[in-house]
Amino acid sequence: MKPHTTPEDDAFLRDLAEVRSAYRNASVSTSDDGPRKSVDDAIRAAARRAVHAGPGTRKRPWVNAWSRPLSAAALVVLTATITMVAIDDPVYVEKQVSPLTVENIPAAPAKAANAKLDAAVEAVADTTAKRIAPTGKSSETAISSEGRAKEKRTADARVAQAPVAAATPNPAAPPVYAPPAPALVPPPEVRVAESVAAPVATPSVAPAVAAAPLAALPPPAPLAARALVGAASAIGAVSEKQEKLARRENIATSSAEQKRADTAITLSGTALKDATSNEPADAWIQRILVLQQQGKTHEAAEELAKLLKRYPDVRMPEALRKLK
Amino acid sequence: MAAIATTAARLNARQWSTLSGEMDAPITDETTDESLMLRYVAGDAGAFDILYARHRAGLFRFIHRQCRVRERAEEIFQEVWMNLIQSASRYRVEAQFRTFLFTLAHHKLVDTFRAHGRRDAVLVEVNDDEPVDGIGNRTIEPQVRAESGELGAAILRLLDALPAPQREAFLLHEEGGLTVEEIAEATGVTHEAAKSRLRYAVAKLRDGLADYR
Repeated sequence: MKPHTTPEDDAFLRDLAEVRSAYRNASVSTSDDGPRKSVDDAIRAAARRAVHAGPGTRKRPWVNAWSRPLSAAALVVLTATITMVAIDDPVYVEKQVSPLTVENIPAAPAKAANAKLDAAVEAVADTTAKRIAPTGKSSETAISSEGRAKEKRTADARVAQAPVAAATPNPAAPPVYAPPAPALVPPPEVRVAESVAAPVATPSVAPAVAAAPLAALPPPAPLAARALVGAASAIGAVSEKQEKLARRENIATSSAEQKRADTAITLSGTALKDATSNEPADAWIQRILVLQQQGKTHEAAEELAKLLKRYPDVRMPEALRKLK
Repeated sequence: MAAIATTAARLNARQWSTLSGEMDAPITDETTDESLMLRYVAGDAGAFDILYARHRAGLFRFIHRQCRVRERAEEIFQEVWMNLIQSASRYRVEAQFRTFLFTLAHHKLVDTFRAHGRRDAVLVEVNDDEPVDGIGNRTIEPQVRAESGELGAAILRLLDALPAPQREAFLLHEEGGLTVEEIAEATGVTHEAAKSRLRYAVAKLRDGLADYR
């Protein structure tokens, strides 16, 4: 017992000593010194069971010893697996880069976009026709503003020729190296050579397109580029590479290079026409919407008829129901 | 029980420092309760035996004096030690071992009294304003005094007549060796309340003993 040091407690301490003495005597006289031996034994046995063994003999459970290494290994395996899945799974890439659809295009400058897209389609028709011909040179791919009026008159016929030529691959033509599209969206400074070569799915057109110097391509119109992205997303089912390329083009055309984007638009438009064989319904509808916005009601109706023939149960947007 | 097996890893630096300095030394009478408890937490069952031997009698008297029935006292006594074994992982050196032990006993007694509806032994009720010169309603009758004869038996009867909080404060002081501050900590009251309880208890016992001298 700790002593009480407060001076004013002297009386209390004196009383306490007296009471304590009597209490100690009472405890001794009553032999009230503890519980029965069985209780002691039970308590001591419980205490020994709790510790199982003496000091130093207790070993760490193997789970504790291996918990950290196993956790680290599991973390590495999970990280590697997720990374591999993210790289290899195109669906994952699709989710990372949401396509720019027609609905996302601002409505106000729609006329300007349509006009530029028309010009782009005509230009690609002309370019495609030239590329089919063996005399095509790189400088010829440049579309001057003066020549557009003349090219416009023959655009429809050339566009009609281009899919035919594309559908009949030339066995003599050298194989085209289409660089594999990266899993994620490339940086804006992506080389336009890739964006030109990739959408050309047919071997007969690809060499000429790949050979075309990009510097000579016309600068893109931003809205037309957005429309291109919508069209490119429409042909995405034909080839994943084409779709990824379209995204590259989207990034590339977001810069000030309007000529390059125009060419890319027309190329995508060409590929778009070749893409209907395996085109999914959604992409098809998007393309029909583009045609409708361009005022090509007849073509849109034809495409819609094809679409309904291939996908009878397709769910159409409201804009296409009138066309139907 | 299994809690002790993982307690060694939970000891803080101070506890390990305290323990590491005394673990290698042999256990003597000077070995503190806290060191013995840490040894036990670390797996030394022998340390518990010594610890148990030190506090066995005092704790049992503390319980027996309050519940009065030996069988029930043994039951509570065993449960207190079992609680100590199970809660050993929560023991910290910052708390005195005896405070830790008697706090467990206090809570166990309160639970028992509440379960059995013993209003006269409710330890949480305080009546510190009771006059010092009276033993209350349980004043020992003169014939009882004459029968007891001995001073030791008299003080036990006087102790039994005290209000439960005052009796507990006195027993914590005498059997547990707790200071006023530790009594306050164990019973969950303020320092002043604990001090008042102890003073009232001693004063009543002194006055009651005066009749036997």
